[in-house]
Amino acid sequence: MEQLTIAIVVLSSVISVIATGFAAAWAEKHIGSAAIGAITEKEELFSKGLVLTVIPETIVIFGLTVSLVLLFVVLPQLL
Amino acid sequence: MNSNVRMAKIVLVGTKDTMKEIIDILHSLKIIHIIDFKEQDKTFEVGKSLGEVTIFSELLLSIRSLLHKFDNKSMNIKTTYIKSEVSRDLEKEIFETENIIKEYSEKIDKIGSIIKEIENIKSIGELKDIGIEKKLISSIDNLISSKPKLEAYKIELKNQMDAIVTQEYVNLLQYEDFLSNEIEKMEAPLRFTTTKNTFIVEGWIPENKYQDIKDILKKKFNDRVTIDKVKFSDSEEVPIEFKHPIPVKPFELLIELFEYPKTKEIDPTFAIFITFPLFYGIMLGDIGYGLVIFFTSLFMKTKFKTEGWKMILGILEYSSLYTIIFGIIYGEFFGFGIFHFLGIEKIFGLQMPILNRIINFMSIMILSISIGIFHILLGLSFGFINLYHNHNLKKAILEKGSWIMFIFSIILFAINIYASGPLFYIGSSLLLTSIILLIIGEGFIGLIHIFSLMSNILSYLRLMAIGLSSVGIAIVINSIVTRVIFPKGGVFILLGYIVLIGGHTGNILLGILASFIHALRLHYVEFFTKFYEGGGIKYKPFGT
Repeated sequence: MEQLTIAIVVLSSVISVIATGFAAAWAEKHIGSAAIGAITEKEELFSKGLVLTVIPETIVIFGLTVSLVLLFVVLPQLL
Repeated sequence: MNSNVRMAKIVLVGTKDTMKEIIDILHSLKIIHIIDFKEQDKTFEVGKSLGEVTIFSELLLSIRSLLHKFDNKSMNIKTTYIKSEVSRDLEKEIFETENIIKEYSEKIDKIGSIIKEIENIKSIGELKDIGIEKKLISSIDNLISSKPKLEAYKIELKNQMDAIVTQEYVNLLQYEDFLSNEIEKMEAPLRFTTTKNTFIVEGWIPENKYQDIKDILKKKFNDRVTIDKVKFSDSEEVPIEFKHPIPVKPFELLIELFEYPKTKEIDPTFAIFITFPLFYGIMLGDIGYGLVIFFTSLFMKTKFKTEGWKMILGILEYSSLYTIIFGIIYGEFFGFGIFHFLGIEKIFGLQMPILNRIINFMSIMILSISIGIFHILLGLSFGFINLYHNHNLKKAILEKGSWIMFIFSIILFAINIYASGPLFYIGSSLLLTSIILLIIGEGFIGLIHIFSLMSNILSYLRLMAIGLSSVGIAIVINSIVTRVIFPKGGVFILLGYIVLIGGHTGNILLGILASFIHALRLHYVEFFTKFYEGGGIKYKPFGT
C-alpha cells in the first residue's frame, strides 16, 4: 500500500508537468498565430503580441510548482 | 502630480500674411505641440496648405524609392540638411541618376553572364579533333584568355557605380530630409484654425519656454501676432514629456510600449526602474551570464545609436547588474557552483552561497510569493492614490482599500501559522471588513475577483520557475561536457569546448529573452492592471 502511494505521488508530479506543458503549448500556439497575424497588419503591436503570447506560460509554471512540491515536500513525508 | 515637464496651453493669433514666417519660426524652435483643429463652421475653418505640396510629395516619393533601391545599410551618413532650396531640375536629376545606375548595373550583368559562358566553354575541354575549324578554335581560345581582363573591367565598373551611388546617396538623403521638412511646414496650416484674415494656432508648450517664445515673436512681429496662455479644464489631456533622471530614462521605453499615462495618473516609470531589473536578476541570476550581457550591451551601445536601441540596451545593462548580484547570492558562474569550486566557504561570516537555487527552491518560492504580494500591494496603493485624486476617498476605499485590507488579512493569517496570538482575530476582522467593503463597492461579482487576485500573486512563482529552468539547462550543459565528453580525451576536448560555448550562448539568449518577457509581463499584467489606465498623449513638438 505504501509503495502504491509513493508511485501515485511520483506519477502525479510527472503528469502535472506534462499536462500543463501541453496545455500551455496549445494555448500559446493559438495566441501566437493570432499575434503574428496582428503584427503583420500593424507592426507596433509587436510588444503587446509578445507579452500576450507568454500569458499562458503561467499554466506550466503552476504545473512545475505543483510537481516540485509533490516531489520535494509531499514525497519525503511518505518515505 | 508627476515628475513630468509642466505644460502650458497657448493660443497664438496672427494676421495671415505672417503665417509663413511664423511656421518657419515654430518649426525651428521645435517646442510647440499643435492641437489639430477639427470642428469647422462658417467663420472658423481649417487652413489651406501653402504652395504646391503635391509636387513636393511626388518628388519625395521618387527619392525615397531610389534610396530604397540603393539599399546601402552599411553607410551611416549623418542626415544634416544643408539644402536650403530645391533646384528646378531635381526631378530631372533624380531621373538621370536612376538611368545611370540602371545602365551600369545592366553592363555589369552582361559581363557577368559572358564570364559565365566562358566558363561553360572551358568545361567542355579540348576542342581539337572534333572537326571544328582551326580559326574558330583560336578565336575561342582568345575569348577564354580574355577572361581576366573582363573580370577586371567588371570590378572597375562596379567601383565606378559604387562611387556614384555613394555620392548621390548623400545628396539624395539631404534632399529627402529637406523635402520632408518642407512638406511638414507646408501642411501645417491644415492643423490651424483660420478666419478670413487671421489664423489661430492652439497648442502646448513647456511652461518654462513660454517667455522665450513670447519674446521672440514680440521682437519680430510686434503687435501683429499675439500669444497668450489660456486656462484649460481638468478633463483635458495634457501631452506628456517625461523628466526623469538619466538612470531611469531607459525604462520610459517600457511605458511607451504599453501606453502613456494620463495627465492625472501616477507615472509608474520609477517603480519599474526599481522592480524590473530586480525581477530580471532573480530570474537569470548568474555571475557569468550577467557579465556577458553587461559587456555585450556596453559594446552594442557603441554600434547602435538609435533612441530605441539605446533604451533597450540601457535596460539590459541595469538588469545585468542585478543578475550579477543575484549570481553572487546563488553562487552560480555559468551554472557551476563558483564558491564550491574556489573552495570559499564563508565571506564575512556568511555561509556561501547564501541561497542555492536548486536545493533551497522552497525559500525562493516563498521569496517570489512575498515579492508578488508586495508588488501587488504597491500597485493597489497606486490605484488608491489615483482614485483618491481623481474621484474621492470613498471610491478609493471601496475599490482599492478593500483589496489592500484583504491582502493584509491574508498576510496576518500567514504570520499566524508561525506566531499564534491575537493576530488571528485581527486578521479575521480585517478579512470580514474587506469582504463587506468589496460587496458594497463591486457587488457580489467582486468576490470572483478574489480568485484572479490569487492567481496574480501565484503568477510571481515564475520568478522561481524561470530561473530554475535556466539554471537547469546550464547544469545539463556543464555535466554533459565535464562527465561525458571531456573524459574521452583527444579531439573530444575541443568538441567539449564547442558544446560548452554553443550551449551557453543559446542559454544566454534564451535567458535574456525569457527573463525580459516574463519580467515585462509581471508588470503589464499583474502590476499595471491594479492602477494603470493609460491613454495619455506623448508630447510631440512641431518640427521633430
